[in-house]
Amino acid sequence: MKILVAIKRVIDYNVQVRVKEDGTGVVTDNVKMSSNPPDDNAIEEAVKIKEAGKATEIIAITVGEEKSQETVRKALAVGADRGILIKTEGTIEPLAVAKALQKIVDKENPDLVFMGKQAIDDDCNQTGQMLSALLNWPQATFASKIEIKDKILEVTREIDEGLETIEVNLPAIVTCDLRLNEPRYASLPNIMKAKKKPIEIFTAADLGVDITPRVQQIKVEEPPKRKAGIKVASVAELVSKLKNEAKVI
Amino acid sequence: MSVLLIAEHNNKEVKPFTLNAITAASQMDADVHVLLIGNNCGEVAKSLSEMSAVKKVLHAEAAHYENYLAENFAPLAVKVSENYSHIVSSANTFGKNLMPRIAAHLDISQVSDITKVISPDTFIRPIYAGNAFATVKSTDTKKCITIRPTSFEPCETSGGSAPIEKIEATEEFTLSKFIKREEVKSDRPELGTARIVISGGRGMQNGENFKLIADIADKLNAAIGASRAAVDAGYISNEHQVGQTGKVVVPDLYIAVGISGAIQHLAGMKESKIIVAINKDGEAPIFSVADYGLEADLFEALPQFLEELNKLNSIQK
Amino acid sequence: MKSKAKVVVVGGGVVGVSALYHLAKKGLSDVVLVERKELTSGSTWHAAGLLPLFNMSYSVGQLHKYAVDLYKKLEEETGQNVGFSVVSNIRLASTKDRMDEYHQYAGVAQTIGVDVKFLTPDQVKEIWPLCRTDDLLGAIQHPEDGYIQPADLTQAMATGARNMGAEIYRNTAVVGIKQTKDGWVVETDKGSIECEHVISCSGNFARQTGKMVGLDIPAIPVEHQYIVTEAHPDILKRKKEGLPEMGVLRDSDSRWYMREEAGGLILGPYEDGAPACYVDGPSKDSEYELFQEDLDRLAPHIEGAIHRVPAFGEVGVKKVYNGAICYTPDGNPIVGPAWGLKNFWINEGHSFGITAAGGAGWQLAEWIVDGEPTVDMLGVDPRRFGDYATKSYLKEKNEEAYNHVFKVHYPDEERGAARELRTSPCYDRMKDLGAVFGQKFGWERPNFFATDGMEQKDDWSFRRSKWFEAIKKECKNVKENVGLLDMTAFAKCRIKGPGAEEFLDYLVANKLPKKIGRIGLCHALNTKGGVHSEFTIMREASDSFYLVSAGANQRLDHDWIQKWMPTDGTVQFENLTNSMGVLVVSGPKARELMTRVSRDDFSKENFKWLSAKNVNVGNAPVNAMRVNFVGELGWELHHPIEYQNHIFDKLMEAGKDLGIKPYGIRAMNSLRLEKSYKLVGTELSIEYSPYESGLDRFIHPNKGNFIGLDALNQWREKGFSNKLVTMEIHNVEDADVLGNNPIYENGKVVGRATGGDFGFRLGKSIALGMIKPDIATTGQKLKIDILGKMYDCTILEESPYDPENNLLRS
Repeated sequence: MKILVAIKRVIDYNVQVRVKEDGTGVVTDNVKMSSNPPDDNAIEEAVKIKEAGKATEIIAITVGEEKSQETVRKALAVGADRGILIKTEGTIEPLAVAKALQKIVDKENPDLVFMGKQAIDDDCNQTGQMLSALLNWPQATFASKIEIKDKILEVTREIDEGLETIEVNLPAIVTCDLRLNEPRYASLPNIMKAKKKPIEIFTAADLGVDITPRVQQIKVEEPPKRKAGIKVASVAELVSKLKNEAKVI
Repeated sequence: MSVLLIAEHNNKEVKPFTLNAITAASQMDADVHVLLIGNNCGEVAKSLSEMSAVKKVLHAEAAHYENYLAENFAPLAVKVSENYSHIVSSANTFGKNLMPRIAAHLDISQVSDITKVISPDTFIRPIYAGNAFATVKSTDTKKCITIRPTSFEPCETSGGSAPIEKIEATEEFTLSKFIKREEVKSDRPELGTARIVISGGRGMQNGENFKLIADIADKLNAAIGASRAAVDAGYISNEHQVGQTGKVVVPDLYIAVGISGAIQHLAGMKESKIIVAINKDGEAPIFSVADYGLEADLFEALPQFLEELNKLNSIQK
Repeated sequence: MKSKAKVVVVGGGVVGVSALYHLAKKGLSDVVLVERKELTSGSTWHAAGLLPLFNMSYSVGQLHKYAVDLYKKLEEETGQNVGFSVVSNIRLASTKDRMDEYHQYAGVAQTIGVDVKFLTPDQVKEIWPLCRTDDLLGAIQHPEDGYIQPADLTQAMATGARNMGAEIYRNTAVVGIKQTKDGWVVETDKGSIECEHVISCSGNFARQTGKMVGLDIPAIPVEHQYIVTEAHPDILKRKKEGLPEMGVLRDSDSRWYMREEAGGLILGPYEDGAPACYVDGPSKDSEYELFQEDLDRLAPHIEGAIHRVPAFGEVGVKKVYNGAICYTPDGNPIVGPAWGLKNFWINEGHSFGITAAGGAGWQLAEWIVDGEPTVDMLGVDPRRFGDYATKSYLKEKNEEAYNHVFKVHYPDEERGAARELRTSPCYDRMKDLGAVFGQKFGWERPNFFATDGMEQKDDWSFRRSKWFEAIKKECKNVKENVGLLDMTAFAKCRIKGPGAEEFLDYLVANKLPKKIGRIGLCHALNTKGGVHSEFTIMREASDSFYLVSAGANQRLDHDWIQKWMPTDGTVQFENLTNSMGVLVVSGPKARELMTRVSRDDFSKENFKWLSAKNVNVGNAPVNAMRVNFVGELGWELHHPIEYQNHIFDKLMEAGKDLGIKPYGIRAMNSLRLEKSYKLVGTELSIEYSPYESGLDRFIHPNKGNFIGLDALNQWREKGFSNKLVTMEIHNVEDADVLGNNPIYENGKVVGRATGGDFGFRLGKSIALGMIKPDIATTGQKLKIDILGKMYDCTILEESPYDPENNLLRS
């Protein structure tokens, strides 16, 4: 089985994101970047499947700027076999990413495509589903448990009401929830070795994909500031304030 | 322009967030048609037609629609979408799972999780876990939009008499199969729509201690939430999780107990009208968003809180 | 928030909080700290928390020792755990030079009272079983050090400070600092605070804070990374078995530190290529900021770490921290008074801030409350850098200071970044004559001359190296012929005005020269009676004096003068350092040489020792001062700098057949030691009274009041604990005393060397040292440690070369 894992380079989840003064976006200069956390779960799942002998090759793919290669290198250090970068400049929308991934899927014919359920920068939660539609494949989103039963996957999904279990035929797309597994860490020798693993680079033009954005970003603003709060000295005071001042109970 | 609203339901009743979605839809255009896909869901069709904001109900029935698999719903939505300018659904797991599939089939760049409709093509949506808000304009002729339910009022459930049109089902997508669902049933209000939410974090130390929270939730008729740390530690199950990758809530009152206030948790509750924080660490970040902060040991404060509540003559529910 | 306080501390990292804590401890409860965001949110929060006692500097070493002792006591005092793991620290050595460095350091440690042991490779293996030891020469261990939790430490000191009445205002940004008649006003975004003193502890914002008061603070941070791994089964196993934590490991030759962390390991290298950061300051919203990691530039050190501790390569990398650490051009912090501003204190540029915070806060509190520090703070004084420390200079030098953290700190090292900055006019001529340069206060100065086919390159060592032969020739030439030395880097100034004499008389402990043209050696004591500065003072007129002091102390000495000067306009200060050059001719043929280049009278009768005359050399005007620092017949030729090359060429031409040759600073050092001449920073310091340093004949306690007189008298009554002696070291083979060597009598430490060298005119290896007064008698036999070996030494009379000063007076 061949597994394709799509990963994204995003602002590190620990960073306090700041909106640029001119409102054109958030500050990204000199800001720490990392791999999108649910994508780490996706890579981990693929590596586990390979270790269990059920997959023969893992390809890590990212769509983004030149520096996104760092994220692919991280995947290679953890156990992916080779990497692909689809190099783009500027914002790229999930639909465009899905179209680019579709071309690679057509080329590579993987049995399974993993990716994180959403990227923590744009919070769209669309790419996996869109790719499934373009390929007309089954989709198993928000996966927190996966079991491979020959050519079928049994996937448990995290939904609002609780948990839902579905079965999908391979090939399929699975988007991963943070609870799917515990991503492993790459050891330094593996990180160093990963520098030698190959990363193929394509542009959208090479693939014949139109990635022109359709959604214009007019402006970006900070959320409205909350009024400063106060510290209360006792539970009694708290309850009194909630009843008489805030009038919420 | 007409808006096609895809209803979320359980074949017996409309799910609450659909009402919020209808409101949002009507802000894009008054001509809101609801697409109801299900199995034996006539009752749902009827309730939808009675909502004043709904101008028409498109009703499709089939056995394979019973469990709302996106692979089954999408082709029908695509088929019906031709004369609609907008396709809308709520951005909970149902809508998040379904809408992008529809959008891709129609070659539309979806706009997810909007919190405001500025105009039929311009919306506001949160990015970076709500640490920034983007105003975006969709240039596609047709738009696929999911809405953040807590940012819109639920629509009126009466005063309407929309026609219900039967539409033909599409073929079953046989490569995906529903197996089962484990819903966690509760007498308590649903976390996503509760007026009051009380959440526990790592500070609760174990699952049994959540009883302290539950007792207060009972008294206040509140929903129970949790931080990711508490869920990961196994104190409580995942559907209680509030945060960037869990539920986003905007209750009138949010009480955070033993929660430090990491960015990811704040993303799920910082729009709450009133925030209370109870934490023994006076420097915890949660205090920077709290309207009322109590620096105290929660194991002392929670019982005291319950006692004080019991003293009150009446509590707004 | 208070609107008035005695002291405002700007910045709430560990350094600022420690300053606040120590002020409160010293009895000042009316002290406040303002922090723009949250405590520790600059660099303290991401520090690895190591507490290195190891430091080659006597001052910094004392500050670190104080801190380690203090941190152990904080939990009891404040009730807050600081997470101090006293797991010891082991520094490895794989080269001979590194072992020399450790031995030299061990001497310093002995004299400060820091416990350090030498370990064999096998002993290292016992403590650190996961460490490969077969290719090591040895190691040193500090049993008392380890690591601490930086945030907990800061919060504990904050609690301690608050308990004593101090206040801390968080989320309060300083937007301006203005000087007033009585002190300062600190303007914040939440209101203003009037105060007497301000201490700048703003870390990565140091230069921004400095700008508010017109100061160019010489601190710019550099990126530093450390790698945290996940748990390793062997370490978990040790924990389970109750075995002790392995301690902080430093592989100095591979340039990294390593310690245990939550069952895994942390590795922190000090690599080449780490860039300066926040060159123009962090953004105004910056907090808890980290930079993108770059493992590529750590690669050689990662390999070295895996070689040394294979377990490190066996587990995954959990996280890589890349954060800013403050740096200064020499890697030591800047702690002390700001120049030119009264009651503005700088506590910045901390590269080992977690450790230094304790000692720095302690000394600043002493300084502010009692008026003086109790430790010689020269090594960290902010005034040790001058105007030349521009932003672009800082970027280069600070990056260099960073990558030198683990390089061997040779006593004669001259670092290569930002060189050839300030050159005297004769620089190129000296270079052509074979000069191998070093720098002091930005000035290029020849250290020695490579002649007769010797490569024009320095050769650093703790032992005698290639330049030993070079300075041997130079010293011989000074003794037999005449040598030429460029001392343009001297600090020079003019003090004049109707109040000049009274002011200088109060400033120094010696009587001022009475006659016009006479020269005196005078010392400015601090208010506690220790020696702060040494000046050669020449009376130019009844109301005008020319002062010369060590080039390295230009800013320090001139700031001292200007802060003590009366403000009523009766005294004017003029800095002449950059406008006057100095060439020194010394040796028995010096008179003959001067007679050839000048028509003026250089005879013994008409140009006495310790007098000065305006003469012409060639066609240039020169203030010839008959003094020199090498104990020979000679003159310091002070001249307007533009004439330097003219004078230089005349001297070299006329002196050809007299055997004139240039000599450098290292030869000068050997020559001055033979005369028991003292230097501020080694033999002279605020820790020693002038009597202890043998300056008896330069101190006149009955002349009238001067700074430090009362304290000196009290000190004399209490009794002195040191005496400066000159010693001969016997049977020295390849290494002379460098300084800080412990001196022993009957196995007990009785003193420390302050400096040493081979004395070529005497033919002896000599040293100066401070020892207990009761054994400081000529002829007394003692022992001294040089690089781990004991040598016999004998106390000589003062100025063993020409003790009667016949050559000087000739």
